[in-house]
Amino acid sequence: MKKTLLSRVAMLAVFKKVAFFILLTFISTLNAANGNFQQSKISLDVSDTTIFEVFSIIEKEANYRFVYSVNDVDVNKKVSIKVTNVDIESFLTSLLPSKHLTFDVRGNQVIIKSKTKKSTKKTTSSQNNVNSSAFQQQIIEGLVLDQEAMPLPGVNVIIKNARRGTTTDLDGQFRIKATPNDTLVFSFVGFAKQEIPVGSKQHMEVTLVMDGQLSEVVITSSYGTKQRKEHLVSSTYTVGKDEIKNLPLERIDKLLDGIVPGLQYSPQSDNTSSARSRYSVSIRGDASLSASNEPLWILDGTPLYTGGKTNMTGMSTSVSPLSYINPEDIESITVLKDAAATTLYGADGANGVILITTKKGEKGETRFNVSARKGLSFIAENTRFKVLNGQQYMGLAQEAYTNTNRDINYFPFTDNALNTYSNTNVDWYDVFYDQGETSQIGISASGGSERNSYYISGGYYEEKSTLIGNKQQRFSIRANNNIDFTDKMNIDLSLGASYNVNELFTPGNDYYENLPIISPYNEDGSFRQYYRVINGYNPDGTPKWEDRRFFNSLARREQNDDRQRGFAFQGNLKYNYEFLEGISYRLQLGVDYLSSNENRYHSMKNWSGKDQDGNRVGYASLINQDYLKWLTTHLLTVNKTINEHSINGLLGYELMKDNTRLVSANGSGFVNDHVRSVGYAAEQDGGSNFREKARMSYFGNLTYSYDGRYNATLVVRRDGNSGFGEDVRWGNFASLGAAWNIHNENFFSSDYINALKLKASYGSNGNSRIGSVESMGVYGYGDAHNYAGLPGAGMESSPNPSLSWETTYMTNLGVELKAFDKRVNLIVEAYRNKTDRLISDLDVSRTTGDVRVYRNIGAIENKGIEVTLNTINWRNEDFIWSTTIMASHNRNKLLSLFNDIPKNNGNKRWEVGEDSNAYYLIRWAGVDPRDGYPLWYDKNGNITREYSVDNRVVYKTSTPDLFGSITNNFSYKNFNLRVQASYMLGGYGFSSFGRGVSSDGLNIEHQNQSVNQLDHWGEPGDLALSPVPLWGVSTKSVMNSTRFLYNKTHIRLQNVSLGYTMKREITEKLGLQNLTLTLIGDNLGIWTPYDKKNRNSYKNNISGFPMETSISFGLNASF
Amino acid sequence: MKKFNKFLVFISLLSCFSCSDFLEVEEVGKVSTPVYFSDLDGIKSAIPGAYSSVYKYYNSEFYIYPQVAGDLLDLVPTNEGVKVLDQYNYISDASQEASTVGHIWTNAFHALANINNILKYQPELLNKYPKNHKELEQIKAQALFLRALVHFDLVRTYAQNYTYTPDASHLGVPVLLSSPGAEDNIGRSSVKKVYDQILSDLHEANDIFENEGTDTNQTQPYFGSDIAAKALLSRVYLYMEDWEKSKTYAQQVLLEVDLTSHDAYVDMFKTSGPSQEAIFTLSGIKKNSFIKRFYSTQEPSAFASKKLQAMFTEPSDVRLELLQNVEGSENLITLKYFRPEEAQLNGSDLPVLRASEMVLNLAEANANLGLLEEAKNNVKTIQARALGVPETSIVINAVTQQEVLEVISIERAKELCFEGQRFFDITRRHKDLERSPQTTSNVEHIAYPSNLFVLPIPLKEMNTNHNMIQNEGY
Repeated sequence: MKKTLLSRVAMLAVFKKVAFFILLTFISTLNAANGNFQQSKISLDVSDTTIFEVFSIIEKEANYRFVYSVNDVDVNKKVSIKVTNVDIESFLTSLLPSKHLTFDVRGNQVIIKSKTKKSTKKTTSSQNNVNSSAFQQQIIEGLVLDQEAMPLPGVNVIIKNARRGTTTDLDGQFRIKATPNDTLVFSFVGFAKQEIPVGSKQHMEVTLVMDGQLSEVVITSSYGTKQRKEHLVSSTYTVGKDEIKNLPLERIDKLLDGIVPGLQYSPQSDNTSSARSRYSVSIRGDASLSASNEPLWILDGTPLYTGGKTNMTGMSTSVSPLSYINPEDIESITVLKDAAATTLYGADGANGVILITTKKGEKGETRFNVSARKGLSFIAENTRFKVLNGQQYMGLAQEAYTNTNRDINYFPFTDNALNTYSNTNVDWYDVFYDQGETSQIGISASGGSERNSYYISGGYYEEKSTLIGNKQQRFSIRANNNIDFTDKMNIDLSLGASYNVNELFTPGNDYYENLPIISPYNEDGSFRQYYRVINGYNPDGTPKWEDRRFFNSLARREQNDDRQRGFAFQGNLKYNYEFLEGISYRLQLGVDYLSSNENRYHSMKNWSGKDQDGNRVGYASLINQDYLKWLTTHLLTVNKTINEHSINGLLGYELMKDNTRLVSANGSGFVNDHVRSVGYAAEQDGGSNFREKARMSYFGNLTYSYDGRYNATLVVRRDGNSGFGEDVRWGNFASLGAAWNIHNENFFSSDYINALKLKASYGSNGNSRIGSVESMGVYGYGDAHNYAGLPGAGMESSPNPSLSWETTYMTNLGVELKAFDKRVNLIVEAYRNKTDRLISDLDVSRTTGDVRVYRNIGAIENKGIEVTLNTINWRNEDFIWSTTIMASHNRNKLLSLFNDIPKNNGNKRWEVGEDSNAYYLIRWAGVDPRDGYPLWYDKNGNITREYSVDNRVVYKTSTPDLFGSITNNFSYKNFNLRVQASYMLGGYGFSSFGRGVSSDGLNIEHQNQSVNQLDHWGEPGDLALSPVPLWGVSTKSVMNSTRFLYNKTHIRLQNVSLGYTMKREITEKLGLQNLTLTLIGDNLGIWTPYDKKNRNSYKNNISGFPMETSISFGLNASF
Repeated sequence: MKKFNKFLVFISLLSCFSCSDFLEVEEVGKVSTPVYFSDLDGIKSAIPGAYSSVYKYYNSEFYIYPQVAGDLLDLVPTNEGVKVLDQYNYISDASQEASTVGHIWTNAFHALANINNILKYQPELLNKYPKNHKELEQIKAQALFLRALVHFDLVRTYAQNYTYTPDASHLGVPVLLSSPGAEDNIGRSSVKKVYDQILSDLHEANDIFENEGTDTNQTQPYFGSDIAAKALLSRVYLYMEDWEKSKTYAQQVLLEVDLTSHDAYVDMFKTSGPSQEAIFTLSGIKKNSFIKRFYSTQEPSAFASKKLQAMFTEPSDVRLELLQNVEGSENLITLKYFRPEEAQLNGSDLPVLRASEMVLNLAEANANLGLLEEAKNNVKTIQARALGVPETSIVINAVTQQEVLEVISIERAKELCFEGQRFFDITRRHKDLERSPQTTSNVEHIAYPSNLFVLPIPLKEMNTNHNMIQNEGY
């Protein structure tokens, strides 16, 4: 498989790009390393001094640290030495002229070891005790801090090779007895292990560095299983709380934007249909055509409701339930991507699984944390869709008018008592946009005693969007408790709830389409409802004036109501009982509950609340939806280590049920605008709906690891789902994976490579997320089936009893490499996911009584490569600079379809051998310089003046060639700067958004136009961007074509945060443990290679609304 | 700790207890087809559902198509008229999925599936509920009547008329006695086979109705009955030019149903509810009605053609009261679907079979059988009622069979205009389409026979069913 991947030309191109990035980083790394090397030259003149003392001097003077074993180096030997300005290596050579010793200088650490280390290994420990007693033990005191100078409690401090140690107390302090030639090893979950020789030091301050991906991190994986990162076989990526703490807080899926390889976060549409766009998260490409492409979100073990298969929530405006969770409560987010990890989730795992773990309490004294953030936001000027101002509009409109041989005296926009078009210039952006504001405050307390620990938090988040009339409020609380009843019995209870109020207003296209020459207000300041234009002429030749309705969105915003309230609750109870050592039973009960209430009212003061004839009516609607999911899981886990064999097993049985209840009421005909409740409407109607879905599963997982070298995992799962026909209700899934830690092999020895791991997995999982009774044929009751006053029922879909799971077969290969003293970490993963028995909603012969039925037909393939490169470019005591580069490439291909007949899907087309996101469009050939008319290419590539759908070709795709991010972290003393930029190369986006406003005169009477229209054909020979503007005339130039297709290549400065941690002296005076101040900038800029000044390009057409830039100031204190 | 273990055992038991049917889930308001038909309540409410689905395809252009493709109407190509503009101009195309071509096909087959589901599950229920024999047999008769009607409508729309070939061996439509699956690819039967099935279903329905009666809960004429079956038989035989049988069934019907009187004639259309002479009407109660909007008096999409206006030679004809002047113009609109007192949310009742048609069937059958005087008398019955005069005062100046048939044809047009029949009345009689020169259509004349006299099989059907054969000329 790898071979086929590599042989592809497209892949090569990607490799080149990737290689370039890697090279770039390597160069900078090497420079950094060299810099350190040459830093300190040594000059020394001593006589009759022990080597131990010499080392102490050098440690003090030249800032080196020596690491050695007393077995290798006789530190009591007295020497005389005189050197001036030599480098460390020549110094050591003269100091220790032994052929058996090697020197390894890494930064300021000097490791001295015997060349035959393996053979002496055994003798080391036996002699150690004897030798170490030669030195007097002394008490070493110290403090362990994290990168932000927060004391770290619970850090293991052990003496190397001595099996003796202690842990730090709540203030991060430790005391340990050690001899000067001992080495202390500091280790703590989530941090890089650090070894420090005691030497002459009696007090040490140790800073542990977070180690996100690449060390002895323990990962919480599927069903709460904990695994050492080193033993991990699967493709799993974890984002810790520190990586997300300065990111936007509005919704949890947005946190992952750009920071997880292979994961794409994007709006579902490019239009303005909703101010709260629905977003999609896709992991490793789209695996399905009709079922959901969304990953499975799991919070503390319970699947989260994220809306229907396209994240629709059943309300008029879909507000994502992912915005109902407070990101500050998140400890870590783990993204599972390959079969070895996701098969355990069986029929819902095909699109990947995202595990969210909330914060837990730590045993010890209560610790309070207060955080606050205040930000201002504004629309990024250069992402505004640029439209004409009043003067430009009038010019273009008049030109378009006369171009069609009309008499300018009857030009509609002629000044009159109601409108003075000639000097009105409304910037509708000013009307609909303003400065936005975000505020957040969070407070949490955590701690615990010997037998229990707790974390409780409360948070408030408010965002006033730059789009006036949109506001998000979230009140959240969480309580996580862990109680050990006995040594064997433990209960873990996590409860989280939030109340969310969303004010929703969508101006639609009005903010850019409204004519700049019509003001939203009348002269008396009231909202405009009419504008007056000339429409033709009277029989006597005088202009015929006409008053037209002006659908004023501003009035809608001010007078209508559109509010959604959501109450979300997640609860999880885990009962653990370890009945034999290493063998436990766990019962888990989980609940996800969401109650949403939408209240809308259309005021009778504006057109939205009037009927067609203009009568004041008023419309109200009220929707209430309750979603409840509950699940019960019984788990039997085995966790045994016997000598070099380590076994982890899991057997589980799970029941899950979801149901949704919806009640809606509509009313029209109100007395006045003060009574806005459906109950008071003259005409009322209502509806209700209920859906239920059940699932039952059996699963098992066995992980085996030998000596940390060989690791294997086997997963099986059997799922039953109520959504499928009886014949095919059950699905079986399995996966197998293996990993090999080459660096743990005896034969492996390298001075540069610290770790090297190969891994591979293969397996299957499914996608069951379609509607609930599609397989059986559905009879529905309701008004539509009633007849002659009798209640009736009718067939709503015809049966397909053989409808079954989509199955995705996933292959994953990976290499992990750590080199140069772990300063370069590289993870490369390649995958191929093939989805078979694709569920498609396919056209079917009408003789079946239906138009479309769900059928399992077709196959789709996603294959790609993901590279994550993490480098520490510079590291010394005061300054650390690290870089993480991510690059993902995915290639999507339809392998087969129903009868292999291509199927058009809007602007796109599903065709075998092509990308499932490939466009199917007529190619735009520009403007005819002779007469300014539009030109297209026909199917064969010849220029034609005729627009015909027969000339559509499969052309470009929305799948990018490469996407990812570059994150740089700089920390200097108490300052920390993080700069995250995301990028995309290749891939095209069709902008329906820009279509109506590039109408070449057709729509100019009703819509303002793009500034691109100024560059239009005027006289023969003009090579213009836009065709000749013709008032109200369609030359079909505005029809779908590649004219509205934009290359998506861009780079975006996504998040920059500058943090300052107060010096300890100051915080202590304030009675705090820690105080951090942060300045954060989000979406600071975007660049595309196709930008032209005063023109619209891709970045102006991205998502229906301009990008929002925000600057915020944050404060975090703990005590 | 003991307590916890007890709790554990309890929970485990509880969760296994519910295992057996845990995955059997039904939605409220929606059930799977087999569950739905597992009891009497289900099949009983499937009958209104089936009528409702028939109403749907009548409402989605089938009822309009024979008017706009005919010669009695001028279309206004705005508003609702747009939907049938292509049929008015005879430029139907297989790809017109979202208008007449696709709608009639799709919705009629959808109705057929609803009907066949009833017939599929009825025998099982008959075994299960022997006590409800009568009720279940009535349900079966209703379904058979509707199945015949749907096949008849489909074959008239998508196939050439019965007498297009001498033995009716030309392509008809698929004959469906049960719903095919997605992979079944059912092709077209000959017109002969389709008519055989229609006749067989109607005879069986008629027999059951005669034995078991009709359900008294159902408001006639909104449901099938023995008279409706006979009336439809009369029409089907008329199309087949089996004059004897057409006459027999028309006579049988007229023994049971009287014509509406002259005085009550206008009210027959203007007021809601069944009229005296109605035999089978599709009820518009709480239906979203395209027909109502199409013939609306506010924004009408159709006017009576000059040709139709010219047919009314007697100014005292009561039927002229149903043609109204539009303000400020010469245009006349029909009031057959104008019910000023009816509730806003009701759609139009659509008369399918009524006694007047039976009289005219009788006339045409008699004329073709050479019984010209009897035929003329039948026409006189209609004319006398229209003019409110005794039959004896009417004089018909027609001598030859051809002339009598022409008189009948004109009378039929005047009586049944805007009731979904005209175009089929032209083609079954092998007449050319001849519109008045003032027609707003691009097409004024089409000679019989013509490929244009049938609609194309929709493209989606062609793409999904490899046994489907397209009509000639498309």
